[in-house]
Formats: sequence, C-alpha cells, structure tokens
Amino acid sequence: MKKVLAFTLGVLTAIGGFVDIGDLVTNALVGARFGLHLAWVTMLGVIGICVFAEMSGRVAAISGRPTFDIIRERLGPRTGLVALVGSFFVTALTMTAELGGVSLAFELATGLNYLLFVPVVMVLVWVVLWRVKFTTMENIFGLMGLLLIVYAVAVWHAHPDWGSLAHQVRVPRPIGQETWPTYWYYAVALFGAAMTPYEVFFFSSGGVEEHWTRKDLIEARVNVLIGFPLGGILSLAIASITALIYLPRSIEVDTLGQTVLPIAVELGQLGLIVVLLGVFAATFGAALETALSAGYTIAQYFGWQWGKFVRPRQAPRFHALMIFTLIAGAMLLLTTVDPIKVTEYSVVFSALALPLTYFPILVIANDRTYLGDRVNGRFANGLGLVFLTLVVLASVAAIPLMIWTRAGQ
Amino acid sequence: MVAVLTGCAGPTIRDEAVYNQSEKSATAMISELQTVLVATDTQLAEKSWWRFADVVITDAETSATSIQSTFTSRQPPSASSNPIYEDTSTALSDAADLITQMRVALRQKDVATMQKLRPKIAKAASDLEKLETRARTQKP
Amino acid sequence: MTNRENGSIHLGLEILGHQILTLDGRMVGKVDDLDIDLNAEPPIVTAILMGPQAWGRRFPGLLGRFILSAHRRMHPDPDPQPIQIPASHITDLSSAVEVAHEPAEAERGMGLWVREQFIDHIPGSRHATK
Repeated sequence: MKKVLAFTLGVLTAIGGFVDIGDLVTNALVGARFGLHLAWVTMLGVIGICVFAEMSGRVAAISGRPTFDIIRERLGPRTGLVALVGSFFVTALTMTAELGGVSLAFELATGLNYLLFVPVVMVLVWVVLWRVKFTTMENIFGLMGLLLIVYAVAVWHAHPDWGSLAHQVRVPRPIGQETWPTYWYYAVALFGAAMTPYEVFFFSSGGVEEHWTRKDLIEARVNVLIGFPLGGILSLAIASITALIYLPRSIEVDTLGQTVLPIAVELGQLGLIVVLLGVFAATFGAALETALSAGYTIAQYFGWQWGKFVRPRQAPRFHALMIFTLIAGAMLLLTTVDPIKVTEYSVVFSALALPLTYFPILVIANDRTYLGDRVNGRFANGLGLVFLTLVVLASVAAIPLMIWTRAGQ
Repeated sequence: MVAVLTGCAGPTIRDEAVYNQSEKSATAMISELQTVLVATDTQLAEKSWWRFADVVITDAETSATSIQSTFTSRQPPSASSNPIYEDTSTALSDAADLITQMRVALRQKDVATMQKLRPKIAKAASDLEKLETRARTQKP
Repeated sequence: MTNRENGSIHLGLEILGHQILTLDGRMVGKVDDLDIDLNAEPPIVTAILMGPQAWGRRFPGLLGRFILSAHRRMHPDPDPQPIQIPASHITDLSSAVEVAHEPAEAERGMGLWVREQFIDHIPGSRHATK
C-alpha cells in the first residue's frame, strides 16, 4: 500500500511539474494562431523528453552520478565546456522567464505592478532553496501544479466540437493568413518548450539528491512514462482552450492575462483562482528547478560539492552560484524587458541548445562503465537516434527561422 | 527627362511596406480590441474580479498605444500610399482611444459606461477588419 | 572499456576528468591532470593534479593563459601550484576516483574563500534542510 502511495505521489508530482511558463505561454499562443494544427509537435516533444529523462534517470540510479557530472569526463573538458556554457545560458534564461511568470501571476492576482514582485519572488525562491528539503519542495509544488488540470476542465466545459478538434490535430498545416515559415518556427518553439534541457539535468541530479538506487529505477520509469505524457495532455488542453476561445476572435496571446482569461470565461471566479494558483505553483516550481539546474551544471563540471543533501556551508560554491544566477535573472527582469518575450526567446534557445544536452546523454547511456548491464538496448538506441536527429534538425533550423519570420510575426 | 520620370513615378517598394504595416497594425489592434471585449464581458458577468480585469485591459491599452505610435512614426514615401496611411492612422487612433476609455470606466467600476462602450469597440474591430482586407488586397 | 584483469587502465577514458571523492562520499574536485614519472619502467602515475592551475594549462591559447593568471592573482601564494594528491592516497577506482584524505590546499582554494566571505554570513548555512 505504501508503495502504491509512493508511486502515485511520484506520478502526480511529475504531471504537476511538467508544465512551466514556456509550455504555458507557447501552447496558449500556438492554440490561438494555429488551433491544434501543431499538436503533433507537442506529442513528439513529450515522447522525446520521456526517452531522454528515462536514460538520464537510469544513469543516476545505476551509477549514482548525474549526467552533467559525466559529460565532462566522457567528452573531454573542452567539449564539456561548450555543453556547459550553452546549457547554463539557456537554463539561466529559462529561470529568468519563470521568475517573470511568478511575478506576473502575482500581478494578476493583486493588481499591483509585476516589477514590485520581482525582488520578492527572487528572495522567496532563494529561501526555499536554502531551507526546504528537496523532496518536500518537489512534492508541494508538484502537487499544487496539478491545479492546472483546470485547463482540461475548461475545455470539457466549453463543449467543443471534438471532431473538429481531432481534425485539426490530423491536418498539420498553417491556417488563415499564417505562412509555412511561421508554422515551422512555432514547431521549433513548441519542441523546445516540451524538451527543455534543464529537465534532464534536474531529473538526474534530483535522482542523486534523493539517493536513488537500482531499486528506484522502476519508480523513476513509472513517473516518467506515465507522468510526463499526462503532463503533455495538459499542454494540449492549454492550446485547445485558446483555440476554442481566441481563434474565432482573432486574438493573439502575448500576455499572461490572456493565457488565463479563457478559464475565467468558462469557469468563472473559482476557475480563475484555481488557475492562478496552478500557474504560481508551476512557475515557482520551475524557478526552483532551473536555479538548481544552473548550480548543478557548473558545480558538476568543476567537481565542486553540490546538492541540497549537504549543508549549505559544505557546498558554498554551489549555493553562491545559485544566488548570483537568481540575482542576474532578477536584474534582467527589472530592466522592464517583457517577461513573455523572454519566455518566447527561452523556448527557441532551448531548441537551439538541445543537441548539447542530448548527444552526451545518448553516449553515456551506452557506456557500460556507468550502466553495467543496463545500457541501452536496441529499442532505446533506435528511439534515441531518431530523437537526436529531430533535435539536431530543430536546433539547426531555430535561428534561420527566427530571422526569417522575425521571431514569429 | 527628369520631370517626366518623377511625374510618372508609380508605387515604390516602400509603398508596399506601408500596406504591409497597415495590415499588420490592423491585425494587432483587432487582437487588443477583442481581448478588451472578452475581458469586459467576463467582468460584467462577474466571472472575474475588478483588479484582474484592470490588469488585462491596461496591458491591452499599453499594447494598443504602442501599435498606434509605431505605425504613425513611419511617414508614407509617396502620394499613392497616403490614403491607406491616413485611414489606418485614424482607425488605430480611434481604437486606442476606445480602449483607454474602457480602462478608465473599468477603474471607476462604471458599469453603465462600460456597456455603452462595448458596441463601439466591436464596431471598431470590424472596421479594422475591413481595413486589414483592403491593405492586403490593394497591395501594389 | 576497462581491462582490469590485465592490470591496465585507459588513463584518458577512466581517470582524467573524473570526479574525486573522499571516503565518506564528499566531492573534492575533478582529476584535471596527472603527474607521470616517465623515467620509471613502465611509466607510473605519481600524483593526481587538480585545481585551476591544472586544468588551466589544458586550455589552448588566450583562454588558458587568462585562467592561469586570474587564478594566480586571486591566490594568497605568489606562485600557486596545481593541487596534488599522491597516487598512494587513491583507495578505489570505479567511475569516480576515491581518495583517503582530502588535500589541504583544496580547502584553501576558492571554495573556502566563498564559504568564509559569503555563505557563512547567511543565517542557516550550518543547518541541514528541513
């Protein structure tokens, strides 16, 4: 019985923790412009992250080492440095977007300008990182993030023409005045939003934080293989609700307010409270995870002591790194740059940086030094290679498409 | 020779840019007007709360002002694109104005004014839709 | 692949760049370089080297020189050397390199500086998380 509870908690936490500000904004935006004609990208991205999270979780459970730790020793310090710089930059940008998302959620709840909340949120995030146990942190924000199911409820409440929605999913093409370059640009953005690099660092480092062993492998797999797809369904729900409410009115999404407004339309004030709590949990949780990932990547490259499983003074550089990254992110937001724009750029840069993360994982997952007899079988390698190809394609296409479509206009 | 050339100057590449910009600005403004409509209706139906609607509509107002000033800052290069430029400027200005009025009414919780402004905003949106189509189809 | 039965280990793949751990699992750093006595027959590894003076040397050109000189300027010693762990201190070689004692200079490096100047001043740094 206790096992079942543990499994359920793990799955629920994975679902609630799946959506972050990038998924929220990108799916809402895409739904309002393309309906569900890009749903296949979200689905593909979910499968991709399942494949790579499973691999990095396996590496953590069997070898006791998180992935970024191994990247340097397996690929050499110079290649490792390239992976580090790229991954750290993208993770820090994503963290900034999440901080912005939390601040915007507070603005929508209170009416006070979001900039006032930026320093407050930064300090709150740090306090949690400093004092709250890893597992407690994951459980609280993961479960609270489940409130985003309200998007699925809203879709059901809207009594959509399911046939028409299904038709959109089956027909992958731009609609209305949208062009193919813009279609592919948002395909790359959605892909980057679903397969964010920090997820993998966090998942494998988190495995070590929670002292996973071989026995935890099954639980880790269940979390990933059930939790992430269900989280992906939430992403599709977000795109569906804006498709239903904004697409017919030619409304384009560029604020967080517009992202949650459809919930108020369908479910009233109660729905609005629930969705704002859910957005808070999802973005705050993601801010914690990205800050930790920023610390993990650099500390693991240099071999410095890292982790919340030791006292802060035993991992001074790890904590100092996180503090400075948080401050840098907050300062960027305080220049009044639009946090939604930061989010949109962060998902595209995520797509750009994906090969730096996924290629090493695929290599390490085949190395018996770390995995013994649990290296990739043919199926895992087949899937891994397919997704590596997709990841490289998306990365190569990202900047040209961004320039050609002027970032999606 | 020179006089003949300037006299016969047809629409230039930069004229096309004015039509493009008209179309883009119209599309963007329609989105803001419609957002204001949805937010207003939701608030009037008591499905949200005042501060929330305030944030949404103030954001729309900020965007609308920006759309308008970006468009009017670019002068049309020749006489042939003047009409579309003038019409778009006027339409954008009226739309931004209406959104500001709605924001003011909402802050004062003036339900009566909000309800009066609704059909005006809806009309501004449909006028801009016609302008959008015109800019797209009449592009040189 | 390791060839332990023959007693040989591929230095590049199995030692260089790997994590150094103490006996109780604390992380010390990475194997940034190796001291090899080439006069011995066969050549033997005499020490593991770590720290910015060790890995700075492995970066080409301007970047490497910058790292070395920046570290030299911040270090209390005028002419800092790479941190050395004698090969006799190595207790285990699996995916990480386990050593018996943490080298004293590792404590004097950046980690200690960060801890003393910064982290120790924040309340709660000695407590485990709840």
